[in-house]
This record gives sequence, C-alpha cells and structure tokens, in this order.
Amino acid sequence: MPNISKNIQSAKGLRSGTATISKGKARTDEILRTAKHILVHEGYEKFTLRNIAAKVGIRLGNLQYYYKTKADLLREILQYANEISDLGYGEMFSKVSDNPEDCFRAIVNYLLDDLKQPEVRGLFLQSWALATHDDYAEHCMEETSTHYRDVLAVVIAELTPGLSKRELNDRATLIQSMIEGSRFSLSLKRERLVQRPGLDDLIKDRVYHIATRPGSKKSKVK
Amino acid sequence: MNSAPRRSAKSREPVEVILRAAHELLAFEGYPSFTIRNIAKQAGISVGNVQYYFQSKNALLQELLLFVTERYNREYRRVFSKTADTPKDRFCAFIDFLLSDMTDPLRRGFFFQVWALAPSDNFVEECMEQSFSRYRAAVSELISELRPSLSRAELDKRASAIQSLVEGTQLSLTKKAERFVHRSGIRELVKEEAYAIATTQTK
Repeated sequence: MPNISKNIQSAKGLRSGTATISKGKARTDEILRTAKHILVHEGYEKFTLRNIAAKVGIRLGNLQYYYKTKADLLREILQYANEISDLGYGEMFSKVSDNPEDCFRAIVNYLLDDLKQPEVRGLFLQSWALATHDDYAEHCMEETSTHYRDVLAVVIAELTPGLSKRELNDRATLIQSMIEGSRFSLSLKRERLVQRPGLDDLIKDRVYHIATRPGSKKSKVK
Repeated sequence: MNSAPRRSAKSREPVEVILRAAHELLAFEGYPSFTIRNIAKQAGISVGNVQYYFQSKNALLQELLLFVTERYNREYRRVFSKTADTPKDRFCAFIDFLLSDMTDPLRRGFFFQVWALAPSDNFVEECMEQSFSRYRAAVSELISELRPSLSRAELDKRASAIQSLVEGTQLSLTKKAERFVHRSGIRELVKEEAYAIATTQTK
C-alpha cells in the first residue's frame, strides 16, 4: 500500500508541481489573457498586435516592449495555457483519493469534461494548427502529449501491476487517442459544446477495459 | 451547404491548378500565408487570374473545403465497392486507409489548419461536421455488416468511439524524414481495439 500511494503521489506531482505562474506580472498576465481570448474567440486573423494592444488599452509600442512579434506572443500563450491546465489538473488530483481506480476514473472524467470547454477547444485547435508549421509549437505539443501519456502510464501500472513499460505506454497511447480524438465529434449547440449521445460513457467503459485487461497475448502461452 | 456555380469543362483546369496550390499553401505554411497573392505565386499565375475565378480569399477557402471533402467522400465510397471481401476485411481495410491517410503531411497540415478555423467560421465548422458525419456513417455501415442486429443509435455510438480512437492517434504521431509515423505496434493495437468496439456484445 505505501508504494501505491507513493507512485500515485508522484504521478500527481508530475502535473501539479510544474505550475509556476509568477506573481507580480499583472501587465503581462493581462496581455496574455486578452491575446488568448482573441485567438480563441475571434480566430487567428484577428490575432494582431494592433488588435491586442487596443483591447488591453495600451499603445502598440508598449505592447511591443513586452512582445516584439506575434510569434513571441503566441509561444508565451502556449506556455501560459499549459500552466493554467496544470493548475486545473493539480486541483482535480488534490480532491481524489490515492486509490488507483478512483484516480484513473477521476482523470478520465476530468479530461472528457475539460475538452468540452470552448476556450480549451479553441486553444487546442489553434496550437495544433500552429504546430504544423512552427517547430517550437510542435515541440511544445509533443511535450504536452508525452507528459499526458506518462501520467496515464503511472496510474495504469498501479491498476494492473506486472505490465511491461512498453505495454503501459501502448495502453496510455490508446486511451489518450480515444479521449482526445473525441474532440472532433463535439458539436456546438447554443454556445455549448456537446458530445454525441452515449459516447462519453462508451469511452469510459473502453478505456477502463484497456487499462485493466490482463497482459498481452505474447506473454501468455497460446 | 451551398454548391459552387457550375463551370464549363474548359475552365476547370485553371480552377484545379489554383485549388491544388491553395491546398498546399494552407497545409504547409498555415492560414496566415493563405493570401490570394501567395496562392497566385504558388500556382504560377497572375493575381488577376486567380481573382477572375475566385472573388475573395473566403470564396476560395470554401471551394477548397468542398474540393477536399468531396474527394474524401469518394474515397469512403471506394472502400464499399470492394464487395468480394468479408465484412471483417472491409472493416479493417477502412481503418487501415484512415491510419495511412493521416501520416501524409499534406493531409495533416490541412486537417489542423481547417479545424483551427472552425470555431470562428460557420461555413468551415459545418463543412467539417458534415465530413465527419459522412465518415461516421461509413463506419456505422461497416459495423452493421459485422453486427446486423444493432440499433442505429448503438451503431452511431460505436462509430463515434472508433472515429475518436483513430483520429486521436494523430496526436501521438512523430515526424521522420518528412513523413509522420505511428509508434511501432500502435496501428495493430488500434485496429484490434476498433474491431473489439465494433463487435462487442451489448450489455
């Protein structure tokens, strides 16, 4: 038991420990919040330094003192968004018991709910679009994605002991794919994103099954 | 969805040249570079000539979306024309097609650029929703061949889960020499899991 709890704690730490929004940066925080809002709600076309400065209520020159180019600002937003999502993740974890099953279910529920927030969806789509032609963004997204699998792998290892590292990673990849891929079947109804009927429940069933089924056929005698 | 004005066969060629150029530009350089000027340059024709066929950037984008989604629609139907295979073969062939298709950099670039436009552009959002729903309908049909007794609602739910699983693997592809690849073994696992979702007993 003490071991289980230690591993889960460290899985929690993988996320909650990385939040480092520093204090005393009110101005840059405001710029980032506004810029993110424009990007997510009005799209990349409206995402110009001029528009952002106007919305924050500062001069263009003043904005450029903090962020010389649009690309600088975008990178900063990606990082900022990761920190915010770390905070959400950390908060969710702090409420969950250390029981592996509770923990796994809580993560899955959290992820399926989180991706329905219009803000989260907007940022996700913008980031991946950016990643297709910007190496830095690509690196950021790959890191976030790997990290996500690592956390899942730790929790799966507690749920189903004895799996190889390879198998843990495979299962984490399947689970991540199913959850994240469900973003593409959301539809907008009265300003809210809704999932197709019954899909979330089916996904919850399947990912739990993937996480808990016995080890691969290869390790068993046929 | 509104349909494009009919054009004579004679004028189709420049339109296709422009659309192909626009397709590559959007996929590889992103929406910020998607301007009439850049598209004309990429296509090797004059700005005036592009404007003769497409009055605005937005008109061009809409036409491009229809052009690409229509091509996918044909691809989906092509899978069904292979009647000789067993239902399981057909199902697996379709999943294979999807998994291979997403490793193409042109497809990947285009996919993510277009999705990023969806929240702020109703036409794009609707187009993507329609394209995804045709894709789901294709998967539903393949599942119903495997499990003829399932209700429409159950078919749709399973098709949605399979679509999520397959599309979600785009997020863990890695780049190798200008191609995108799935981590080794993942494709087989995805196929197995998709087949399990399709054929599992209802509770």
